[in-house]
Amino acid sequence: MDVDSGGVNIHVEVTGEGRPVVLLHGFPDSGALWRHQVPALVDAGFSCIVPDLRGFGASDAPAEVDAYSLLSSAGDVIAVLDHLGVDRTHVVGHDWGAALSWILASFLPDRVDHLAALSVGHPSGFGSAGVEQLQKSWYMFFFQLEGAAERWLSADDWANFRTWFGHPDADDVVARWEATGTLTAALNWYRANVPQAWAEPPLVAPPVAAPTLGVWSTGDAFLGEAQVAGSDRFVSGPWRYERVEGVGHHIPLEAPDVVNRLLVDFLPG
Amino acid sequence: MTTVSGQGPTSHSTDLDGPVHWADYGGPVDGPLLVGVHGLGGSHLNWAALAPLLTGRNRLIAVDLLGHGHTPTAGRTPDIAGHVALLDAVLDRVVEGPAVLVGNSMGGLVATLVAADSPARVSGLVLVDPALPTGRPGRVHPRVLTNFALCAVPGLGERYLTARRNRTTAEQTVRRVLATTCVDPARVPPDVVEAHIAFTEEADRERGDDAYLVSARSLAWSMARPGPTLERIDRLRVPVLHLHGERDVLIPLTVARRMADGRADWRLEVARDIGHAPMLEAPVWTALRIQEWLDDAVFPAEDPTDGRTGGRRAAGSGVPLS
Repeated sequence: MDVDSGGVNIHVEVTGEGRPVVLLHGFPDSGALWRHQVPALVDAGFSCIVPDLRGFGASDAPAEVDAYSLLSSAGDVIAVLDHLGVDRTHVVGHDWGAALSWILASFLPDRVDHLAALSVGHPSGFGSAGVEQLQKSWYMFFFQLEGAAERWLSADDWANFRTWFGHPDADDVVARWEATGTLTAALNWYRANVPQAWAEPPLVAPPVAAPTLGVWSTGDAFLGEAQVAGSDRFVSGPWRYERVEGVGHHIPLEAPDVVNRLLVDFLPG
Repeated sequence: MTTVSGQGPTSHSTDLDGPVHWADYGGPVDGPLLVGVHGLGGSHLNWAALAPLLTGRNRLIAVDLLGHGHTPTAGRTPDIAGHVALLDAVLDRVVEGPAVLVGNSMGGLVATLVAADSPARVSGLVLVDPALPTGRPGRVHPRVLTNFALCAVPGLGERYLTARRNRTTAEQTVRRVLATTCVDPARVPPDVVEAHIAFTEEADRERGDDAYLVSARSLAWSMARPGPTLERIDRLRVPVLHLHGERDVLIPLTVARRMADGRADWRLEVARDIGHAPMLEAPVWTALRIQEWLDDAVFPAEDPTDGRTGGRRAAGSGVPLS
């Protein structure tokens, strides 16, 4: 179904009956990122709410960079929940979807029951994760260059995107970008949300009261462990950290069974 | 070798008429090669915050000039000519093919002279708050002249500047220099500051000569007698990107603007509210300006339908691991 969020159409798939779980994908994915989790969660008695975030999948891609701030996307998730009549839900996020999950849990504690954040820790801690994180996240800053980033990623039949990013669904991602012209929209997530100065004062957010699970994989080429493992300082509720060995950045696709087991174990049904 | 969070550079020493230490910050072997050249009193570590932002697409090495970092003078004179000879030898004997030189402060002067003298070895020049004379000899303000001689970036040499040196801890030294070179030292990534402190402590045990003062006097002399340097700047035939902190108190922006006056192929970009060391205080801004300029002016895509980078890229690539 499609939900109107202040003029931006958000596509969402709802599957199953039971306690709701919202699953939020990141860059450069769509709701399809969660295709291995949805059946497992439905079997376990959950109702899965899987939106395509703005700029991705079948949702609208507004032209303005500012439209991609995490707060706008938080508004989209709330619009979806309101449309479905869901007051309170578990929230699971990966990559930018994890950053968004943290924001939702920090600012809307009444609506977030349990939080599971994969690969990305609390946005307030990202800037202090140090040079190790800088080394891995050079591209977040390079993506600020409008035009140059698009050229670099797409040159030579997307050679740089394919080899550097190593996405398990690279062909699908490229096909979607070529068909819809939404590469810039996807990059705008970085342009709207990555601070231009490394030492910009961190986002001040209320501590997360929800029970929170942080997950990081040892093969993640883009995100370091400290920014996830150290996110407990932004959580006032119960905190659990899990490290997944030998798996790359796209944990839901690369280690579906591990993620399914963790979620079914962590989320009360 | 001091590293940052275990992610720092690898350390190398090559005999180039005496040992020369250089740090390899990594990056794709087939990517464009950048060579960092620190300023007076600095070291390869001054590039620690910038390097990770550039090595996704470029190879970056950073030299330690004579009597700086881990390069001993070993009988060589650590004046400007000595530093120029060192950098030239690195380009000739350590790396393959031309490089883009990235010089800060005194390192900007050294890189400029090498680019003018050895054009075949240099494909581009990035000057970060460079200590260059302007086109108006005789009109340099005395305070500017003094400042040129004091253009210290964190490292070992600046400790000569204090009479209380023996009672000054490495941490106090680094923090004092950062307070001079940065508008807000808190903007420097904390682990990079820690690495500079650890390095200064380490260097205190190694240091035994007055390389800093020899360099400082030689630098001041170059500023006081700008003619020969200006002639060499006039010979530059490579694209120049000049990055300058708006609030640099050592080399004021008004002076920096005169360096660029009337020169073709010289792009000046100003870092708002930043001091003398943008690569430490504003590494993201610095990296973005450099990457933008590399794509635009040094290695432009030849054919937009093909998207590959141009022929100059091939010439700029390749560092043997030695």
